Amino acid sequence: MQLHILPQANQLPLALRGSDYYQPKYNAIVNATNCTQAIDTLDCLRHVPFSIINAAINTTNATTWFATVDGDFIQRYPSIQLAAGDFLHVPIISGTALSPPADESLLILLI
Amino acid sequence: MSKIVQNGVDIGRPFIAVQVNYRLSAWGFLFGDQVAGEGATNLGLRDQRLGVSLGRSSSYKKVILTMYSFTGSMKTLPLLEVMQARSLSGYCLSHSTGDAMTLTSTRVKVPVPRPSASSLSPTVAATTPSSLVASWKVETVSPTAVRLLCSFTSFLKLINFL
Repeated sequence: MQLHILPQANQLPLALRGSDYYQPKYNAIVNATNCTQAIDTLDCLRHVPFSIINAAINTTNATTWFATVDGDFIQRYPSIQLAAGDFLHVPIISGTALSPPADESLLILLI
Repeated sequence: MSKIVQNGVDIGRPFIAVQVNYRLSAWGFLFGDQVAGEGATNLGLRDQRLGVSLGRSSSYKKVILTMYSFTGSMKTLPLLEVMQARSLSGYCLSHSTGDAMTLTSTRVKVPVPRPSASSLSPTVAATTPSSLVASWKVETVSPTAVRLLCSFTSFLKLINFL
């Protein structure tokens, strides 16, 4: 028997995006760290001093990064997987509310 | 987390809590064609997966079990995995990848025998039957749920339900 309890969430997480959405953000970080000319931009980023890349992450418009549809860990868009029944079939307790306190009240009622 | 554990002790329902940090923002979820090309995607989720698998490793459980064998008379010892609900959603969706580390066995409390006089020897405790160790399971809930469950059990204790 397994059970998942997900206050303020459900089996369908926030809209997950792919590279169409994240590539410009990635490019912004590359530009801010002078890695634009590098052949392997990711390798270049790995060698940027922490203070510089940290500043780039915090000052560009690329400050919001969440789980992505990478075709590996998460293979397809969640809506598609859910429609296909392609998710972990376990009982869940899920709650959604405008504010956490209200959410907690709801959860206690569910228990 | 420490308050949650303390609460469990206070109400006579102690448990082991494992907390794992993982990378956030661009450190954990940098994405783009180059990142995808290297397979270095969703690192924040993969950090959590590593942490969970560490919590489930048999050697780690033996340490916990050894610690437990010196404690009181509790018959079951739950092991809580605490995870952000959004991350847990990600795991629910990732099961199809065939990854060994999916949350397929999460909430079973395993009976642990009361420590006998002989088991109070570290040597004996360290040689706990592997079958017992292998049968350990964990619970997967989000931090808010843990907080709520603790407050709820406190409430039940308050009204002498437990």
